[in-house]
Amino acid sequence: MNIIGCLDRPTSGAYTLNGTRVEDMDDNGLAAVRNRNIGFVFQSFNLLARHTALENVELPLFYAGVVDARPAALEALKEVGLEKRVHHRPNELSGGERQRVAIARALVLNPPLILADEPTGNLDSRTGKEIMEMFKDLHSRGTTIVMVTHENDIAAHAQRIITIRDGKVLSPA
Amino acid sequence: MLFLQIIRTAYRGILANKMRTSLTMLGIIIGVGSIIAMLSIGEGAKMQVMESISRFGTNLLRVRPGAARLGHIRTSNVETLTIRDAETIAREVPGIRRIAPAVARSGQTKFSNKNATTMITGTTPEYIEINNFQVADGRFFDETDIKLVKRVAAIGSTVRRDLFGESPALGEEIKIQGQTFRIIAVMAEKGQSTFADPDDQIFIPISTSQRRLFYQEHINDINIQVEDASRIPAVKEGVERVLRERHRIAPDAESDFTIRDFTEMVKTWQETSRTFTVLLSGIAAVSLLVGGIGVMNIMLVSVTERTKEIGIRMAVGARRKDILSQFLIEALVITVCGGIIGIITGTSIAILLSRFGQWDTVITVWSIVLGFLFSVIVGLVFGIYPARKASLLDPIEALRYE
Repeated sequence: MNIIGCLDRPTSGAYTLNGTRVEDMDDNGLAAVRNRNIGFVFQSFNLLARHTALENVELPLFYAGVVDARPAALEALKEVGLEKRVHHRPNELSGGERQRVAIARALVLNPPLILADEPTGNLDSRTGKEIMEMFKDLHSRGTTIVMVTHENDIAAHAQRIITIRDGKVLSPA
Repeated sequence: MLFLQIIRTAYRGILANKMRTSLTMLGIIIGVGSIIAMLSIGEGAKMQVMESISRFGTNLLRVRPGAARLGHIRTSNVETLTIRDAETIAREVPGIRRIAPAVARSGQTKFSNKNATTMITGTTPEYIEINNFQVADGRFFDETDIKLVKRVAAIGSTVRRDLFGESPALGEEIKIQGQTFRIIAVMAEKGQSTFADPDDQIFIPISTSQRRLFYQEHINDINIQVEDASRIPAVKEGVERVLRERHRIAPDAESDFTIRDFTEMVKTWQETSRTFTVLLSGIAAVSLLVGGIGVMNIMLVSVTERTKEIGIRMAVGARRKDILSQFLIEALVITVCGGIIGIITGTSIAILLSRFGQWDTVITVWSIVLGFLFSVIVGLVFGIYPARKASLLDPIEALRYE
């Protein structure tokens, strides 16, 4: 997952993303790829606690050098249905709302790939379902979503399932 | 990432720990504040020395009776110096611009019912030029007054105030040691010097002081103004030779007079005040250094505390240099804010010192610029290590950090 997310380089083997060999890139190149091509959704949300929902979503825009980040960030928050909670901080939001902020942050720069690491792991099943609906919607509009999960019913949403046990690929479907 | 955004982020990081940040800032405030205050004291001392130079007059030598012995200038009431000595010096030593012998003793003065004890200086008109005195009102006595042994006096501004208050003094008659003198001049105020009040003084013709007032043949000092500073050593030597010859002092015996070189004294003061400033500023700089270490300490704590945040920022696309500049600017915001408050504090302290204390302080623009620069430099020097540490974190490790 770290290698797919360009947080790490493979020690052996090759990883080509969008035609670029990741193992040859430097730190700045990786940062740019993470910024432009990949959106992260974590199990534990990983929002900045001292910043509002809006500011959290603005973050990738700033690192992309966007001068006025606000309109795009508001747009992304509206897309995940949080337009009324933009000035709340993470600790003032429910788990589902936090994950939606994280999704808004992941999709704000329209990356072709979203990586979701157990996105529903910390949520109740109803909220988890809402999140999955959101992913489906994104997927239908052309975003590739790579998701890691332990739950078979969540995995059932995916088009392609790869089962991995103890580091070995069991069933390439 | 945009500069404004970084500043805002830094600002937020600082506000999140108000107490911690203000204590850290206090170190910088004290450091910069004391540098500003110390420099202003040093600058003030320098000004005072400059003022003393103009007050004493330049290239001044003063001959006094009595030998210098281990710091004591006069050993006893030696009565060897005479007007003839002064005349001979003027005739035989080249390089002298002006020379004025003087009789100086304290005496009792009286006007109507007011009494004052003051310095009575019997001298020649050249004395006031050598010592930079100015006549405010009336005319100073001249050679004719000396020749005629007239009972006329030029009084200093302190004497005028003590005896006459606000009423006019010129033309009035005062008693000096019981003798009547007419006031023909009031001197301009010279201001307090380090040793004595030069305005608490009455000038009378030297002949009058010797023959009518103190009944003494000897004089108390000879004031010599040398043509230019380079000739001071030569003139000093000449004066010494002439006087030793006139006083018939054996070659291996000690002189019965002392020559004081004011230019040298002023130079010594200048050096002393400079050493003083350097020393005090050094101490101030050390306190700034300690403040800087405090900044580094707190930034290191901050980096550790915010490892997770750094990981998140890296995951959404922050480059190493973005993280570096974020933490560096945070350190700079602390030191520069502290620096500005320190400049204000230091300036206020300097102003208070000169208003309520004994110190003369002068605040120069360059000391403020220096204080500001120091706070920036401290921020850079002590901020770079924690910021680098933050930027070199491994994104995966940082994200995993709880």
